[in-house]
Amino acid sequence: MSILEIKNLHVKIEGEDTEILRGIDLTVNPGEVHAIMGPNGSGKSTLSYVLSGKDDYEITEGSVTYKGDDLLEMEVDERASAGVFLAFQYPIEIPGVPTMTFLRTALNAQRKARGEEELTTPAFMKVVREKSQMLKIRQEMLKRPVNVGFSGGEKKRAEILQMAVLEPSLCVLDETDSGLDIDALKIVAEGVNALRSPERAMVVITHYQRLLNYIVPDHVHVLSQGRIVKSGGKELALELEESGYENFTEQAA
Amino acid sequence: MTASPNRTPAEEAFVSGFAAAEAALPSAEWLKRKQALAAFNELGLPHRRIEAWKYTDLRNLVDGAYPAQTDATLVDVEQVQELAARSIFAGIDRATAVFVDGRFRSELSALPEESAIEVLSLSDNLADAPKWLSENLGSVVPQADDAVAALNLAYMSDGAAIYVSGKCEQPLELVFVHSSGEPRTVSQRVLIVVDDEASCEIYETHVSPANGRYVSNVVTEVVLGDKATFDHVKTQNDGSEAVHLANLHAKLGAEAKFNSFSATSGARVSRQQAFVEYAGEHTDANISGVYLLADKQHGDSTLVIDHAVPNCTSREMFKLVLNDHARGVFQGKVTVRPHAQKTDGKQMAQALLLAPDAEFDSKPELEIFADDVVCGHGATAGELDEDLLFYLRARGIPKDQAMALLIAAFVGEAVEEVSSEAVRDALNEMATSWLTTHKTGALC
Repeated sequence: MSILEIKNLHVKIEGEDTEILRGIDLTVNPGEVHAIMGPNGSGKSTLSYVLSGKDDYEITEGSVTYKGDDLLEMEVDERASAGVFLAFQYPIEIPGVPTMTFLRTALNAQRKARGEEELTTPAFMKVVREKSQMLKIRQEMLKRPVNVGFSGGEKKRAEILQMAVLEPSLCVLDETDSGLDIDALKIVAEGVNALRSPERAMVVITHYQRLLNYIVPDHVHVLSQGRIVKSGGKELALELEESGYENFTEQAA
Repeated sequence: MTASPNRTPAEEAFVSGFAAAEAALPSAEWLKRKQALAAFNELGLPHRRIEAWKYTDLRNLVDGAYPAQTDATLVDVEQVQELAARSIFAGIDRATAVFVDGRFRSELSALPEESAIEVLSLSDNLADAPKWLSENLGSVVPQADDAVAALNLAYMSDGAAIYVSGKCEQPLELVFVHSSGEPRTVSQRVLIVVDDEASCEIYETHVSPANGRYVSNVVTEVVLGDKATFDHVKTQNDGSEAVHLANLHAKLGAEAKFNSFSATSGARVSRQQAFVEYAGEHTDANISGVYLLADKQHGDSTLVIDHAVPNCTSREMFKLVLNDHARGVFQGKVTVRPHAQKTDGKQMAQALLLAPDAEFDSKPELEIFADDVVCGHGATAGELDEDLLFYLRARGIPKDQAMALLIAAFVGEAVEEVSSEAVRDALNEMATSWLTTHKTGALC
């Protein structure tokens, strides 16, 4: 069974007429990494928000099935507990909520929702220590409120740390490379690659091919004006890098 | 101000019930109950045409007769013990003094055993009061213009008199329990005298069953000597039918440190006044508080800070979380007298509105007559940030729990002002669980 199956998905912003997604079809199987590339305004972020359940969007047509269930019927937190994870393009600061409290609350809420035992504090600390070392996240950062005072790179690493701790089945990475210098990009990519497994799937949304040098995809899709206009292997990303999006944009129009 | 020609039923009961009550209440020659009643009779209950009571009209809000409680029998010990056990301080090593329906209960209390602190029940010690008690009781509270304080003196049945002569090791919790029963007014008094260089930590818990219909009137006087340190944490969790009227008057010696925090989640109507008077230089006063109100609860915090001498600081930080039709009021008056140079005063009141019909009224008043001071105030009101909620939920945290986290984060800045880490943890826990225990109407 596929992890994610999107069929003829049409989406518009609530209260507006223009469709942002105009018939997306995408099947993601366990173990696969799919890259979705496209110019600004092609609908990349909308796709990631719709998958995670943000409520500013209206689905006018189509379906999204996650592990056989209707994803669109699920609440935001239900999706997360079922294993859908969105690494945000712009992770926001949450003053007053310590990162550790946040991580523990999230992990235990998910475990509880799945009918699993909550993790004890020592067991939880051990998990976080291991995963944060891999991502070169200092313990001091974890004592701060979520993302408060973090640099752009630190915020992205913190997102990947959350992903590593929560161990989702479907990881959606929304422009995780934006705002990263090359060193930070490598650390983030290593963190993501460490999570690749035969049971887990990833959808990597990016504007640039650069990230895909480090997170090598199995499939590449070009999104333009709300539609997937071309799909191919990892070589498609290189082709795009050379010729630009223009060819595809015209094709879509 | 003149007496209102038409008394409300509440005022009528207060005035007409005095003679009988006076005979039943503990007495002492120096205790001027009659004068206090006369002052109340002159003033009546405060109402909205008095500027300081504009948002909290007691003539209107105290909605019937609440005769003074004079009966000293203890009805239901088990209920009292169950209520007292709800205290957020229950997990902290502390001494306790328990008052039930306006009477001290020694059998339910565990008074401090260390020599640095002496705790007396007022009712047992009025007639033969030690000098520190008779000289200080009523010394900080002005009777003439405060009807609620006058009423308190006229009817007070008991309370605690605390004398601190050294550095206390163990905190003391004053527990005020009210049982259910007929509508009544319970007036109690607390006097805390802290000697030069002495220190203490006092907790206050107010609790009752949900259906307790009473007016709780508590006047607290704090007299701090030079270099004295006073930490005060109060939780007001009176029943949802109750009216809670509290007056805190503090007189601070030189280089003293006064830190008072209150968490209010109970009572139908509450008005908490704090008056701070500086009697010496280089003194710090910190008053902070958290309000967690739902339904039609009305919570008012009114502060009057009088910088009468130079080189002192004052800090006020209040956070209000208002759900349903709840109304929060913050009034902060800071006076800096002409010679009170180098005064450093800051004030902040912030409200989080969880429902469209919740209301926050804020009235900062700064009267500055000195020219070399740093003073500031701020007030904000806002809703929960949808993006923050989404972020938390996108990590699997259910909506209620996510809101609770954000509420605790919002009030956390005020909770930070509390000195004790164990108490801060207990307060954060209380704020986090508030939403689930007070979930009523539609949330945003």
